[in-house]
Amino acid sequence: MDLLRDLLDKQVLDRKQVKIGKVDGLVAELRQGKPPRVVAVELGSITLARRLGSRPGRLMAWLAARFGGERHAEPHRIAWNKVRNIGVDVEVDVDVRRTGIFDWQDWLRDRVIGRIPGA
Amino acid sequence: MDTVNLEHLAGRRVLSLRGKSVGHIEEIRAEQDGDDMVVTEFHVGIFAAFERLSALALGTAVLDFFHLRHRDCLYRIPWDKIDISDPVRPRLRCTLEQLSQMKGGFESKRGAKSSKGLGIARWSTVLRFALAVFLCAAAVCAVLWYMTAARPPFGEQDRQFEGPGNVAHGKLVFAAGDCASCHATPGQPDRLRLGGGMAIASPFGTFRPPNISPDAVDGIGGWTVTDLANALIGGVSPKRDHYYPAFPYTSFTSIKPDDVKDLYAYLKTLPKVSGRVPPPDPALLFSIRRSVGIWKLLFFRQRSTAARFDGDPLHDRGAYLVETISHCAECHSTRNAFGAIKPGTRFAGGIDPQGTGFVPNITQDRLRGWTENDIARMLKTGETPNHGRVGSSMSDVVTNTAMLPDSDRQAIARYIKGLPPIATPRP
Repeated sequence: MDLLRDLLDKQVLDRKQVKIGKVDGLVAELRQGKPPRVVAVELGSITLARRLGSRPGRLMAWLAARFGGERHAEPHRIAWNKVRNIGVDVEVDVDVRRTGIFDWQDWLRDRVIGRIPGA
Repeated sequence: MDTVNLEHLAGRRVLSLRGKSVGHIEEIRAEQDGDDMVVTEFHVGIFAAFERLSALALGTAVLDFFHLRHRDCLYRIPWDKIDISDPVRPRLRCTLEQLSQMKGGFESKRGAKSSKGLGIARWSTVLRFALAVFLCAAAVCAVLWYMTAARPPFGEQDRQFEGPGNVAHGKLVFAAGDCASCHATPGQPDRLRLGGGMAIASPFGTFRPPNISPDAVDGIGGWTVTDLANALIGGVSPKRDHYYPAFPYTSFTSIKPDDVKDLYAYLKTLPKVSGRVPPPDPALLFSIRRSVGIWKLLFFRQRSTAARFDGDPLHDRGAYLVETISHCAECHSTRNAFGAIKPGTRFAGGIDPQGTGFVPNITQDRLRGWTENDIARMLKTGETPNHGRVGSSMSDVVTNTAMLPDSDRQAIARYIKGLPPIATPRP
């Protein structure tokens, strides 16, 4: 498998086929005398910002922690053993409701969109 | 547990042990190892961006076109030969000599996919050809667009049109130019009400001379003398459009600036007529005004004249009147498929521009028996030497030439009498 071509930036679906984001990062474990092992995929704006450079990454992490609390100071990470299928999309055995991935969307829905008459 | 974010490696420059760049990481290959996914090798080359964007075929074809691609810089490097502990600065763990042996792997992969390689080469050729055709077409279009633009020959500040014109002389220019025959409002007797609108049918569509009365809204009341000069000499409207050559600027183009000034002054004295004529209804090919620019490139030479001068003042005055102001050749000649006068048939008559009649030959091939006085008398009275009368549109022309002084009619006669004989083209 070509990790950059076949995995990076692919759409991620949870176990209920809900689109939860894209594969923004791939985490590999470096092992002495053994090839690096992919241990997780990362999603979220912090990972994306880190791809632009360390400074944008730090700024995004600070913003996320400032507005969302320390819980959001790190990227969302899904362990590799939760990855079920890699095709057009990447399916993971995770329930997005049990993660903090949609916290921002929930906040936006409850505090802003839901208060617009007719929305 | 030491971890590294692999996405940070994408496109990173790989340095050798001596700090020399050997290329960029294009791809990271991984394989299943039991339940694990482990990195096995890194693809290092100079086309990382193409590989990353899944645009290798297109990108390399473009590079091939510009001879920028060097395929000797692609390596498949095993995982243990690159130190990725700092993903921002990956470094080789082997020497360049060892690295050169890693080149073959990628080449052999390409060799295994030779048909794909051939496909890329073929596409490269096709793309190169298509790009060349596109660039040539774009260049031709750009040049043509530039060359066919309507450029007025005179600017607003042109000094040769300064000062008031001579109204009395302008009236003579108006008569000699036969303006009223086309621009007078049809269906009423006053030839000085220049509301235009008479339909002129031609093989190239139907044209209607515009309102040239001094009405500021519908006529040329808002024009300056320079606008009139640009129309007569350049065939360009104040809105910077080409005029269709149904307007005989091909002859007027050699008009003297003073005559333009006088004509302008005279036109200003005529009654205002409101009402705008319907737009021209040209054939499909000429419905785009810009196409007239191409026609002009082929058949129009600004400020040129076909007049032949011999130093005799009467003859030369006649040459100016016949070839420029009175634009006799516009009717008394045969036209080619594009509506331009065939030079070899000038004044030799032929099918009229509307395609419905036959205009007589006025060279010595037909007027050998006419004297200068016969011609001058015909221009004053409409009577021919054989006791006939001119008819059709020539009767309108005579209405105007009758207003010219005798000297001008004699001058026209002198020049016409001097035209070399040309056989009448067969209809």
